[in-house]
Amino acid sequence: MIEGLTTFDTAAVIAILGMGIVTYATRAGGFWLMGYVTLSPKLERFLRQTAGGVLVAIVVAAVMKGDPAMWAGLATAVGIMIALRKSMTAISIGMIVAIGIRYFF
Amino acid sequence: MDSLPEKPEPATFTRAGVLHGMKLTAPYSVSALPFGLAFGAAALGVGLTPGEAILMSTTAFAGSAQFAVLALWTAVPLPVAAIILTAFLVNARHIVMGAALYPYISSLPLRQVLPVSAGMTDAGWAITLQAMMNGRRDLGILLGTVIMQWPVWVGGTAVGALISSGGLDVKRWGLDVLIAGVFATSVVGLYRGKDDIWPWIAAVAGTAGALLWLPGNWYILIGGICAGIAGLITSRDEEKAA
Repeated sequence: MIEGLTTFDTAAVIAILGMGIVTYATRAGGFWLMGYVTLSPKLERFLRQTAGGVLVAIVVAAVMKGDPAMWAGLATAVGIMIALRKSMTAISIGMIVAIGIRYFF
Repeated sequence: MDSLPEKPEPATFTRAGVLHGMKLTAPYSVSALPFGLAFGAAALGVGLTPGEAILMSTTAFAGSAQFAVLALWTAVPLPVAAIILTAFLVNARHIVMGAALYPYISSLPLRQVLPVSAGMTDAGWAITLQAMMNGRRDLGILLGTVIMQWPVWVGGTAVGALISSGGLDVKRWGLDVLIAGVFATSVVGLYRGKDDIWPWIAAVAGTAGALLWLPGNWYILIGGICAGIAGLITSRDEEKAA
């Protein structure tokens, strides 16, 4: 029997179901809203950029809290992504670089 | 939206549309599998149980939001409000996407549209919009994209979680780099031109300030809001250009 498949923490389940609800609200929200009102261009410009901002924030936090292995891994991943546009390849090689640095130093 | 016909024909919701959507989504479906596996492994690395990881992939079904909250999951006690708010900010773009798709299927009742929208991903949206701009206004296409991606994402999560259920050392196996790398590469992939530059600079500045001076996880909220405000202020000309 697989361990943890039926193990749930109450706070975690609340967080997960909350994520599910707000995510559904964003997916249905655009269709639903348009049935009644048009999305104002201002709100649209705001909403277009929030996702990018959150992603940037997480990268900045990872860099500021990270060790040299994290920096090298991320730099490698970003470099490969810019060159090849293959995210899984970029991330895998970045991971290998970080694992290697942590193993040897 | 320029391609909307003057007198739109009513949209449809057909089985043929579902099959067409599934066919168009097949390549994306395959490429989603390694991300599902990676999510399952990373989720266990930060302390979710396999059941919780699978529940999250089933109910939220939102790759970048799910990876984003893993960055918050190690805090004790679990920052439930910050997690839900982060999911909202990462997914707020769906509101814009849905609004862009709506004019093509406005003749269909919301009781058909809203349940299908529950599984709309970035790739599924792009595939559907393209098909509809080419004249195929069939809600079935969107449903087809969902059918091809949801089981793959949930299944990938399950396998990834079960493989690593013995417990993994996050740092030793580079899982922290995996999580951060998902974002670093998606930022590269997300770049659409110079309209993104100011929002991202604002996000970097806001995040760095929040990390230095504020406790907890406010940096994510602040990064998202700074980018949104910068976009509001600086991307005005895009509207006229488009």
